[in-house]
Amino acid sequence: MTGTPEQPTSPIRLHKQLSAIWDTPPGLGRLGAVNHTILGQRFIIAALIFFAIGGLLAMLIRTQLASGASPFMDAELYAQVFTMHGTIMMFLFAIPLFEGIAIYLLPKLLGARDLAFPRLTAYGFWCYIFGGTMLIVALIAGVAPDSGWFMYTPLSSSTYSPGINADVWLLGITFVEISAVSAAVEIMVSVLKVRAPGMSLDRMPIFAWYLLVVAAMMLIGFPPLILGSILLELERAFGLPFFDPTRGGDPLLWQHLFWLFGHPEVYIIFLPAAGVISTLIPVFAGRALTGYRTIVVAIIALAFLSFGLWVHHMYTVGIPHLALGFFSAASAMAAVPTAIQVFAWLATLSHGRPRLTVPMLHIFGFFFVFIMGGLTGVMLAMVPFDWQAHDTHFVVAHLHYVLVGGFIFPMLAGLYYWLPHATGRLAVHNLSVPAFWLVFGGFNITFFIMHLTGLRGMPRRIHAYPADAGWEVLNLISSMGSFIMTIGFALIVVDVFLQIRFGRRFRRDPWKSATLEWAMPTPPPSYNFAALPKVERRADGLKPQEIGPQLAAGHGYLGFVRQGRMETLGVSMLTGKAEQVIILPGQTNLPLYTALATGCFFLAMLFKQYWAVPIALLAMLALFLLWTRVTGQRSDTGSLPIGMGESVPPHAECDEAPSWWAMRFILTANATLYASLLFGGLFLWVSAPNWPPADLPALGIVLPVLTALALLTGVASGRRAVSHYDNRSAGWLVLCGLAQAISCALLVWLALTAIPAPTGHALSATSFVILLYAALHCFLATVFAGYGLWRIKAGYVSPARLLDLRIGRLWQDYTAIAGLIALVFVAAITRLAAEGSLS
Amino acid sequence: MIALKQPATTLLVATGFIIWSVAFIALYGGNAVGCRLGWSEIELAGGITLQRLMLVGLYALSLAAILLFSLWMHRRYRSAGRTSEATDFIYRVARDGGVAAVAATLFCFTLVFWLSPC
Repeated sequence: MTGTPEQPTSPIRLHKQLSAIWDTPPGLGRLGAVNHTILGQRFIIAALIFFAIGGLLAMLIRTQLASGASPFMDAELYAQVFTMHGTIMMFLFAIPLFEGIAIYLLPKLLGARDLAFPRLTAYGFWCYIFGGTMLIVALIAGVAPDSGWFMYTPLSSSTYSPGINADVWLLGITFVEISAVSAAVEIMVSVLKVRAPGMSLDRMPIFAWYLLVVAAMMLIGFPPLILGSILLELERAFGLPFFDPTRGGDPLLWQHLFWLFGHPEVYIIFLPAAGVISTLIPVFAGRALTGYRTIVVAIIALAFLSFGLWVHHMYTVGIPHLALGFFSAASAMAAVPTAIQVFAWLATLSHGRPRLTVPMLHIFGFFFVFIMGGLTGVMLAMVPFDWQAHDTHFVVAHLHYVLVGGFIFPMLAGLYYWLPHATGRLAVHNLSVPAFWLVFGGFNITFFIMHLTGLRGMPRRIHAYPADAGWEVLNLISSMGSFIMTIGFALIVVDVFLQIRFGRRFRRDPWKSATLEWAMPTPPPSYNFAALPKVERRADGLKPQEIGPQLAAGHGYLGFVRQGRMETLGVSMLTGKAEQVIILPGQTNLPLYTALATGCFFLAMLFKQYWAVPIALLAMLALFLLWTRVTGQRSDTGSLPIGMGESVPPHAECDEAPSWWAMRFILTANATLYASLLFGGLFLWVSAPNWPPADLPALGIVLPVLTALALLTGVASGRRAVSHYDNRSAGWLVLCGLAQAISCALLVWLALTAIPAPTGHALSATSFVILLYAALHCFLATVFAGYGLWRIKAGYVSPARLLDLRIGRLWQDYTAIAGLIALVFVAAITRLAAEGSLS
Repeated sequence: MIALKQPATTLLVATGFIIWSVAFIALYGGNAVGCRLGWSEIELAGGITLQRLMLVGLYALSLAAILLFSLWMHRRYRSAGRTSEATDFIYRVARDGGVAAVAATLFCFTLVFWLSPC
């Protein structure tokens, strides 16, 4: 491998050279797109299509409720419609829209050519599309989920929902959540490692801080929901009674797992929108953002507080006063960091000279609507008030004020701000202004009224109500408002179409902004920047008009092509010093094929074709292994020139390569899922009725000790293979693989023989799942050991290129810890249950 | 002064609230386990139950840990020989985050002194 760059002779030639490498091929080649600009746009378009479907369902709801005894829908159909409305808006619109914006913008804001893992982005996109399609097809077929968007048990258990409706939700949403977790890993690694040189953490644009915090929240917030969905599906499909109180389960466990995800989800939706506001207000105020550092502190605080208030959705289920106090206080406290941001925005506006553009119009809409939603949120955080308003339309009004105020209006502001970036055209018509007022007015007519119907006692989720309840006139006004709002959204669609088709072209940076995404031609080229900038000040105080032409001419880092490779730079996390050349993989259909195999797994589960499940899983594993064919290098290259007189090694020869960080973050999400499972077991012991069971697990001594020894041998040999890499490392990996295979077999044996029938009691079911979780990790640890061996034999590993083995070592470490915890936990909870049976 | 690696330094920005989260889990989980094991029935002295003692002890420990962390960050920020603007920024964010976590601890958990635990 030679590291000599090919020097271009002109900006046009450089553009052509880079385009030849980075462009996505036409025709069927589009299916193999991995470029972040294309995938970001696809995410956004798909999310908006789902928004239209969700909005249509909302119109059906309002049509039904316009009068007290409407024959429009019966109760069963109405249940499907409101369930799918909430599900689509939360899982198929809000989160994916934010993901799309992050995927499209992040590398551009950070001065990079792409995200850290382009193929992972593509895989996430296909999982989102296929999972979402499952749900929509179910809706069309009349078998959509109908237990509400939070799928409370026992309503969603097989006793009360015997069809596949609930399975569609559990499996479809889990499928979609793969894209959320993969996006979280992608965003975290990209923000921390894939930035322009010189962009230290304190120089990042504020939006990058928001995205970093939100991605971390997703990494911790989604696993409890995924676990809950797995457990409920195990109960529905195989009878493992996690939520069945007659067999030691507890429906409240579902509520805990769901809201452990569900409340942070609100902030996961709000914070990116707040990031858009923090980006746009300084541009239109003509002044730097007030309190940059304070805002960073506030969003970190908000992220943590949002995880400490999930029980405020469960005030009425019977929880001790002290616990209620914790959650009520944390709920009220969350208003403080939110208010800090609001005051920082107001201070920025008041110190600047605001321009009243269309994006600013939507930001003012945000201020009005979101702050009202925040105030009713503080009311609902108070336990006595919540007991009165629980499950009424007051709550529906509150959540729409928060979500529409805190997400839709900022996103519309962002749409109008960045649409010229994607299209290269500016609006020439003024439809956007009446469209805003229709949406704003229609929204307030629709939802302000719901506060009143809620305070008059109207419960949510009813499809009919008595004529003498005094709710009919209010509901009719509400429904009329919703139609006005819909006309507004339709006008926005027309306006966007006109802008894309007939808009006025412009040169660069039409808003006089100060961030890097405008320092590139618009629409953006596939490689973003012909050369990467050196950032010497905070990256939201730059001058794109001056920087852009310099970068286009190749003045900066990597202002050349090298061996036809897709290259961007990795930096040290804190200081932003150039650290590695990240060599990205090219276009490939593998993400699509892997997502199809993943889809086969979910469909096999849905239609109970369990014979196909292992085949689909093995196909997924094989396809993921195929991803590695084009990664790595077979010889050491040492440092490569990157321009500006600097040289850094390729990522395969670097200690902190992006994939090493990705594995750490994946394990963090995995550990959260595991901790949630252990919490579930402990929760059932503490709270569930019908404990202890008649039959207790009996692990004995010998097999757990042998398993522990095998686990420790596996991790020790795996570590030894990497820590002193030499010609014996392959042998150590063989030992590691063998030890992990033995651990796997022993754990499966324990699960099958030492645990009473898992369908008999929740204790057995929990122990069974915990042991199988550990066994699955041992199996994958064996695969990692085998993969390491293959990489050594194929010449991808040397003392300077240990990345593959170091990633495997992380998995081996986690497996050993998880396996030992599994053995100890099952023994301990059995002992606790046994003591309960004695007392 | 203890030298920290860059990723560890970056993690400092969240450390105050990480301690707060651990305290939350310990107090909420500890309270549930204590109720299950009947610690609220075990009176030690002067009407103080084992449950209350455990909760107050966890509360005091958490508060002390976050306070110490905030002081440590304050000293690191104020000390001479700072390495870079980025490091200064991290220490200031970590310190301010620690102070916010102290406020959150006082506001959310002081209830352990008087509310009925079970």
